[in-house]
Amino acid sequence: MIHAREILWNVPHWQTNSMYIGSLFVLFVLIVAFYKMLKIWRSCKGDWEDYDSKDLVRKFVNYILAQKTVLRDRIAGMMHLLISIGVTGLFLITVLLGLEAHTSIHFIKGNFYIFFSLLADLLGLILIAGIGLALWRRFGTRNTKLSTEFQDLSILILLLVIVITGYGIEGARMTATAAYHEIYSPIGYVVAKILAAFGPAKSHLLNLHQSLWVLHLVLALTLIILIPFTKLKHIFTAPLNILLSRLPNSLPPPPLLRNIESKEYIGIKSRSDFSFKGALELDACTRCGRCDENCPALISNNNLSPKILVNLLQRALRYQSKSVRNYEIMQFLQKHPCHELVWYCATCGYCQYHCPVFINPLSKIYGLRFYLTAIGRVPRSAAKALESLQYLGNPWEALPDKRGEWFEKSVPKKRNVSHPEYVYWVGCSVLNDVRMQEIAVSVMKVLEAAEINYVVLYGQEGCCGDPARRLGEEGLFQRIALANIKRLKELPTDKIITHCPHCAFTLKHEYARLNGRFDVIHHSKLIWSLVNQKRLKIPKVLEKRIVYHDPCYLGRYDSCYDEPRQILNAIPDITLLEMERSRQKALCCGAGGGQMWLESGGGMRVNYIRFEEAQRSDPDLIVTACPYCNMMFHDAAKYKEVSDTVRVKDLAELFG
Amino acid sequence: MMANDVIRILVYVNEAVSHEYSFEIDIRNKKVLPCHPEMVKKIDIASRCALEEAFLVKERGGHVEISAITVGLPEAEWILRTCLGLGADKAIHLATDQLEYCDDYTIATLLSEYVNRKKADLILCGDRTENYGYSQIGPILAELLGYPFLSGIIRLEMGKEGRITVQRKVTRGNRLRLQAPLPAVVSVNRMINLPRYISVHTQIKPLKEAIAKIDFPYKNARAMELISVGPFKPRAKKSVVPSGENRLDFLMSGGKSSKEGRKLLEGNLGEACDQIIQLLKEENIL
Repeated sequence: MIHAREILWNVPHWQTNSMYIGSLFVLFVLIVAFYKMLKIWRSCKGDWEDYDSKDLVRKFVNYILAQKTVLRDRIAGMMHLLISIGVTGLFLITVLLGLEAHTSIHFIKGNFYIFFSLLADLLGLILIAGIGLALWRRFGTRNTKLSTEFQDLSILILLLVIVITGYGIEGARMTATAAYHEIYSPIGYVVAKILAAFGPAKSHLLNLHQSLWVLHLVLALTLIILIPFTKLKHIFTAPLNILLSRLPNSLPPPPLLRNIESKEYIGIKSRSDFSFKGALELDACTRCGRCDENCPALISNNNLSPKILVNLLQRALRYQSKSVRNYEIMQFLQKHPCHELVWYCATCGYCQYHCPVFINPLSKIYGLRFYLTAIGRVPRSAAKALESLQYLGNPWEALPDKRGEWFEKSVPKKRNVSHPEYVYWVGCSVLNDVRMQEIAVSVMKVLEAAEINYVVLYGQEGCCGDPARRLGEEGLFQRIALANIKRLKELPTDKIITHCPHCAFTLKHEYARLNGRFDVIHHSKLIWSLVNQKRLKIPKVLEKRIVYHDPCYLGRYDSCYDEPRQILNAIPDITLLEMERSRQKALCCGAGGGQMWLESGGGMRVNYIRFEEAQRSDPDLIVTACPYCNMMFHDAAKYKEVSDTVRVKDLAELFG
Repeated sequence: MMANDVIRILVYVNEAVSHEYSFEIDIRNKKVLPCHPEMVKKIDIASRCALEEAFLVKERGGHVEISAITVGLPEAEWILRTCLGLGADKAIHLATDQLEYCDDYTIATLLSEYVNRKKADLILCGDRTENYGYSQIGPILAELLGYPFLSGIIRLEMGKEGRITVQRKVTRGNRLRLQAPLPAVVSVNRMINLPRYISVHTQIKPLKEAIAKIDFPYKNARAMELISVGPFKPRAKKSVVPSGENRLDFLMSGGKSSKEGRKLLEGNLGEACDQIIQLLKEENIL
């Protein structure tokens, strides 16, 4: 007996003709829709998004086939894997059936037919399992990051009905042809047995088969035609975006805006200011909500969601106004409460790091900030900090002479070393708070104890420009950076130590784009290497239960999670605790991205939320490696009135 | 001025020296130099408020042409460049090379000569400067032009038929509403608005309109000459401790001093001003 079957059995000519016409129509719609999408992307002429078309094979295998970033969330990843395997597999099955039906090559027979039939049934089961998991995530769990719209539910139901009608067609055929030997199509066999139990007449079975076939065809074509108009378009846009993106090892700085003195405006004003890559990213979003999970702006204010912002920008790209030609993107966004995210973003990088398809909401926020700040539409408190940075050289409204006085008083001895190994970049936070001065003194004590030759810039050191860059004041940042680069290049060494991850990131990555290439080391890495080389003694600390907070600009931006923990683990008689959200998932303290100088948008402050999280592990001491985080935790401890019982220290203060 | 005509707003802007930076005194060359070379020039805050108010009037609708004007040395052009970057339609520099230190009367006279030639419907300026206290440019300019003068304004609205309505702060949250016909001179108080942030890009971006430089060789300039700079000479101050009897007299008189040589002026404001002028003439000051 040769195992095979007639393809398009019981399908009259008018139905097959309808299938061809329908398919051609759907293909036409797809081509037109994707052409329009491509046209919109190409109309975006901005050139400041980072492309990376290297490592295409690695990206394809790891992030498209193996879906590594999707699988970071186990349940969601499994759901997506099951659905994608089911849909892709069944699509290929259909293509092979088409080849069998319309070419002279007949290969679906014999053992291959058995394997083919079994595979088709299993793929259907896999797809149903994926759909079931998706429905359970949406309706069976309290998943706050998912917001269900009509398209989310309807696509899932559509897929489910397509699979069920497919099984129905198979079962009807098997019953009508008494093909009960095809137990290698297990689901079809079960359906056939169920239908047979009702004892229908053959004519009824034939009608049922034809009806289900038509329904199956219509639903399948409907699903395909919906692809460019719903989030299903990510089937094409997400892989393309992944192939053009950088690998997600650590977060890059936003691109530098060049020749700003020759431009009438900078940043993102209207649609054409997005780049091709930026527009493509917006169309790759599936609203999975991973960006929302630990967004500090969303946690402290329910209106502010990176997911909603990305989708609003997607709609803004397509918005056509007959009355206003080059409408401003902000005019469109201002109709929605989410526009405030532009100023409440802490640039912690969580959304960018965790997006499974490498969308970068941060670059859009930076683009909007560049534009708004350049035209002066910046919140008042941030404007004061920027004016202070312009006129006084620091964002804290501290007199410049104060820095020199502090240096004279606090630097151990006059550092006029002729062949220094390092420059110690103290940063501007010492002008704001006595606590920050104590941290700087501790760092210098560590350097002295390890007998490291270093110099400091005394009154010559200004702000690194990080607040300006994060608040979108690109011109001011470049002015400060170029002046600092000139000063630093005059020094006999290009190795810089700093205790501030924001300064470290700016000096290392942002200055490099302005031809200021320096070897910048955060003090946590230096301390760990000194401890390893036995040049620094392990201290003893009074506190026994220590929890470490990962600063965003050290963790996600610089992939430095282990060194601070290794230092703490080396301290005897202490217990190192971990917060619920740590390492790559660490919640921001809420001070980055210029938030130190911006009013919070109402709701619970993020630093209080993070402090409560730290308190849940019942620590005696919270250790961090960033002056911003230190200030935030101190504020929170005072607010909670536990400053006496829960202390906050920098890593260097344990040694110095 | 017809209802649909363009309203020409002229805004006087001037530079402010930042007091946050310490200075070095070069006595020999009579120079005052900032210690920190990276000191950034800034526009006087009241001027910024005046300019911002002009922008707000434009944004509220109506046909408005905003011109920024400044008086002084060539180095002053950076202010006008910034004003054009912020959105002013025109910028005028009344260049006066020979005058390094101008008093308010000279500036007001130069401005009045410009306005007489080019016309302006509304002239805005700040009511005080960061460096020199209350500014007299507004009232002197208004007097020279014969325009109404509205001082210390905290709210401005363009009305119909060529009139403006303004508000001035009086005590305890009360406001005085005044109306005047255009053309008029208005000095704004800093409370009128929060001026927008001036970014570096605003200061350096390409200009849509060139700065109109007009050489004003003002022959009768009442220029001040800087004769010396130097440290403040400390003078020993005598401390006067009043006796109990003097203090009681002082209190009983309602706070009027009983010292000789003091004169209490009586009458309304105009009469008091006349008496002051008379006194200054008697003392050979005027």
